[in-house]
Amino acid sequence: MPFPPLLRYVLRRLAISCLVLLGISLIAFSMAYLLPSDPVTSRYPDITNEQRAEIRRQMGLDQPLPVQYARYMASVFQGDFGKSLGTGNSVAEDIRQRLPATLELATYGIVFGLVFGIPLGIVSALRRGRMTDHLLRVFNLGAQSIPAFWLGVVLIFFLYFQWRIAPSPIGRLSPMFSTPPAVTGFLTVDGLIAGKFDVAWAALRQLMLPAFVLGLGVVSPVARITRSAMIESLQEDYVTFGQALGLGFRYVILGDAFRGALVPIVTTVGFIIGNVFAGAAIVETVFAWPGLGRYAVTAITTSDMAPVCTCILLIASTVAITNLLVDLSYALIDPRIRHEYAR
Amino acid sequence: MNMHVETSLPSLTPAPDRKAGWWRTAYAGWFGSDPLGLFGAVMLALLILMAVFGPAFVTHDPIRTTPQTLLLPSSEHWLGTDHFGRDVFSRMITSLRIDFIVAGLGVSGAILIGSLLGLVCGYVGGWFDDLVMRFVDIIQSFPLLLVAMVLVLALGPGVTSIVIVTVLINIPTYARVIRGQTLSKKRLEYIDAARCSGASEASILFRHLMPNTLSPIIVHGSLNLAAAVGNVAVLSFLGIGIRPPVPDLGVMVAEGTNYLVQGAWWMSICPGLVLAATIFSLNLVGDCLEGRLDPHRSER
Amino acid sequence: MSADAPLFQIDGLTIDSIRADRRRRIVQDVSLCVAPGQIYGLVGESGSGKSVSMMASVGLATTGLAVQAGTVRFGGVVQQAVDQRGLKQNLSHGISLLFQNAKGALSPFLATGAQVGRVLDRQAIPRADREARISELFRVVGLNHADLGGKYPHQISGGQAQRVAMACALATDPKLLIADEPTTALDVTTEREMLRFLKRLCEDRGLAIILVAHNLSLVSEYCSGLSILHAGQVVEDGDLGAIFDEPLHPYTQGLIAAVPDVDEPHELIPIAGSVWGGSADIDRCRFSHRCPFAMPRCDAGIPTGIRTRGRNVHCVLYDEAAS
Repeated sequence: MPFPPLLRYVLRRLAISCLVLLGISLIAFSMAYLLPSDPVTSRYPDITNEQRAEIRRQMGLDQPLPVQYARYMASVFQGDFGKSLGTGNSVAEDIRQRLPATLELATYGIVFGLVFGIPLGIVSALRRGRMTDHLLRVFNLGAQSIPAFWLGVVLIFFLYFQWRIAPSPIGRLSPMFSTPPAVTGFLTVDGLIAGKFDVAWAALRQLMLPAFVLGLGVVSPVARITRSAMIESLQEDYVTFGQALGLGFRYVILGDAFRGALVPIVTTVGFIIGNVFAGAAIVETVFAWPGLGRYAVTAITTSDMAPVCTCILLIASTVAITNLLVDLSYALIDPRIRHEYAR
Repeated sequence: MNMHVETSLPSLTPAPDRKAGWWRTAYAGWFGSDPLGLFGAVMLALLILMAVFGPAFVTHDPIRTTPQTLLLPSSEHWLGTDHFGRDVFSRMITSLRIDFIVAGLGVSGAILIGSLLGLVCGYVGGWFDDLVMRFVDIIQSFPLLLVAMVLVLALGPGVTSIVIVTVLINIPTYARVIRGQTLSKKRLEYIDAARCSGASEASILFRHLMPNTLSPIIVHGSLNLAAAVGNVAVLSFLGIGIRPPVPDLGVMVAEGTNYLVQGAWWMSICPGLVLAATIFSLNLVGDCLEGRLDPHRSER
Repeated sequence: MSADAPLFQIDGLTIDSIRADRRRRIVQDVSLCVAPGQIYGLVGESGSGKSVSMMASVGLATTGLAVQAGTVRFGGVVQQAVDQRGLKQNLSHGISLLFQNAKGALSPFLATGAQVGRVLDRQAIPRADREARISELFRVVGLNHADLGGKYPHQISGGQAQRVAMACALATDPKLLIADEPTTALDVTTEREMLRFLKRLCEDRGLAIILVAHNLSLVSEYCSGLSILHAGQVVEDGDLGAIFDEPLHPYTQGLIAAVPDVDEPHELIPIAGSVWGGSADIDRCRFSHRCPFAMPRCDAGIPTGIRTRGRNVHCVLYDEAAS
C-alpha cells in the first residue's frame, strides 16, 4: 500500500470527479452548441454566403460535433478557452477580471447566511413547538419567498432613491476611489492591506446590500436543515446521557448535538455553494456588480458560445470540488465515517 | 405518527368531543391544527380566485398602450399606469394567471414524467436504474438557472419553452423522491401479500405502490410550485422567458426598475408583492403538509 | 424498609403527555423512597411509565411531557418536580444515570478516555491528576485505559461501552445511580456480570442504585426494595422479601405467577390484556380491566396506598383489612 487509506480515498474521488467533469464538458459544449445564433453571422453581419462558408471552414465550424468537441477540449487543456464575441477579450482574461468580484460577493453572502441561519436553526430546534420556533418558521418561509431580484429593487428604491442611506448601486466601488493594489482580489481586504481604510469602508458599503440579498437566500435553507438535523440529534441517546452527566450546553448542545447534526448541514451548505452562482447572477444584474454571473447571463442572452461553455464548466467544476470537500469534511466531523473511509 | 399505545378498551377513553364542528375536524385533519398552513391555504385560494376570475373583470386592456403614462395610483388606475400607459393592476392580474398556468403546467409535467421514471427505476432496479440515476446526478450538478436559460434560448423564448424547461429541470427531483419511496415500500409486507395473491407486476406498481408514494409528491409539488413560480419570474426578469408585451410579474418588475429614478415605485413594487405573496402562500402550504408527513417536524 | 433518613424520595409524581392536543396521564401519583446504599428495583411492563418517571425525577423530562405535580427529595433538599431546570442540578451533584443503549449513549465523536475526562473537567481536578483519575475510573469498571482509552465507541463492544458509560457516571462521584435497564441490550452472561458488578459497587462505595427493569426475576436477585408500576400507577411497593413471600396486589400476583422457577416448577400464567395509556381525566384503578377480582368499586377512584405487611398496596381489596 503506497498511500495511507484516507489519501487513497481522496485520489479515488478525484479520479471520479475528473471523469464526471469530462462528461459535463461534453454536455456543456453541446448546450453552447444549441444556442440559436451563428457565431460567424454575429461577428461578420454583412458577408456573402461563400465568405461565410469560407470563414466557417477556417474556424472548423463545418466539422462534425465530435471533432469540434475534441478540438475544443484540446485547446482547453492548453488553457485556451476561446474568445468572447461580446468583450473581444479571451474568455480566460474576462473570467480572471470578474471572478474576484463574484467570489467576494459570494463569500460575504454565504458567511452572512451561515452566521444567521445556523443559530436560528439551533434556537428553533431547542425551542421546538414554542412561540420562538413558530416566529422563526414564519421568518424563514418569508425569507425564502421573497424573490431576490425584487428585494434588490425594493432595497435600492428605498435605501438609495428615497432615503439616500445606501450608496448608488453601481458595482464594487464608486469611481471616486481608486482601486487598491490587488492582493486577495477582495476590495474590502485589499483596502485594509493597502492601509486605505476609506476605500475598504466604501467597498464594504457597496457590498452590503448585494451580500444581504444573496445571504438572505442562504439563511432559510441553512436554518431549516439545522433545525431538523438538530431536532433529530437532540433525540440521540448520547445527548440525554450527556445531560444526565451534568455536562453543560457547551458540551452537550454544541459539542455533541450540533456535531451530530453537522453532516446534513454541511451537505446542504455544499449544495448552496454549488447553487450560489445562480443567486449571484441575479444579484449582480440588479446591483450592476461586475461579476461572473452577469457575464454569464450576458453571454447567454447574446449567444456568445465560448464564455457560456466556460462558465458552465467552471461552475460544474466548483460543484464537483465542493462535493469532494463536503465528503472529506464528513471524515473530520464523524470518526465513524473516518474509519469507514479508511477501510 | 401515532406511536402511543391506543387503548384496548374503547369504553375507557372519553367520547370524542361531539360539539366540535366539521370545520374544526377538517382543520385538524388537513392542516394538523397549524394556523399558518390554514393562513397559507386561504391566501393561495384568494390568489387563485383572482387569477381565474380576475381577468374577466379587469377594466383595462393589459396590453394596449395609451398616452397616459406613469400615472400615480388613483381610483381610475388602482395601481397606476406604466411607461406605455397600461394599467398596472390589470397587467398584474393577467400576469398572475399566466404565471400560475406556466408554473402549474411545468410542475405537473415534471411530476408525471419524474414519478413514472422514479417508480420504474425503484421497482425494476438494475442497469436501467443505474443509468437513469447517474444521468440525474449529472443534471443536478449543473447550474440549473444557466441550463434553463440556455434551453429556453435554444427552444426560442416564449411560454411553451418555459413550460418545457420547467418540466425538464424538475424531473430529477421527483425521479429521486419517488425512487426512494418505491425502494422503501417495495419490500413491505403488503406488496408481498399482493404478489402472493397473484397480482400482476403492473397492478402492483400502479395499484399498490403508486398510491403510497402520493403524499411526498403533494408536499414536493407545493414547495416545487413555489420555486417554479419564482424561477419563471427570474427568467423573465433576466429577459429570457416570457417576453413583453405578454404580461408577467418578473417582466413587470424588470420594466419598473428603469423608472424607479422617476419615482414610479408602483410599477415594480406592486407586482413583486403579489409574486412574493404567491410564493409565500405556496411555501406555507407546502411546509404545513411537510410537517404533517414528517414526524420529526411535528410538535408532539 | 429503611428506618433511617431516605437518600432519594419521590412523592406524588404526576406526568401528562401532550401529543397533538391530546393529553394523557402517563404517570399518576408515583412515590418511592430509596435508602443510602440500597439497591431498589422499579419494575413494570413497557409503557408503564418507569423510565419516564425516573427521567422526570432528575429533570430530564422530554418535550411533550408535562410534569403536573410531585416533589423530589435528594440529600435533604426538597424540590418541586415541576421545576425541571432545578432538578437538573442534582445530576452533577450526586445523581448519575445509566441507559439501556450504552453504545448510543456515549458520544460518537470522542474517544472513550476523553469522554470520561470531560466529565471530570466539571470538577476542579488538577491537570496532573487528571490522567491518573481517568485510568483509575477505567480500572474501577474493569477496563484498561491504555487499551481502550483511545478507542471510539463504535470500536468497542456493548459490554465495554456500558462499562465506559459507568466510568463516566462514576466520574461525577454519585451517591445514587439510576440504571435504566442497563443490561437489556447485553447478552445473558454479560448481563449477570454487569449486575454483580453493580452490586459490588453498591457495597464498596455505599452507592445507592435504582434498577429499572421489566424483568422481575432479575431484580429479585439483587434488590432489597421494590416498586411495581402498572400504567403509570404504583400498584405495590415495599420490602422485596415481603412482596415476594406474599404478593397482595392482583397484578403482583400475576407477575410472580408468570416468573418461571427452576426449583419449584409451576404453571406459568400470563396476565391478560395490555397496559392502558389512559387520558388525564379518568380517576380509577388502571388495572381493573385486566383484573380477575374487578368489582364496581375499582372504578370509583384512584385506590389509595394501604400499609400492610411490610409494603404499600394500592388496591380496594385491602380496604377493609386496613380499616
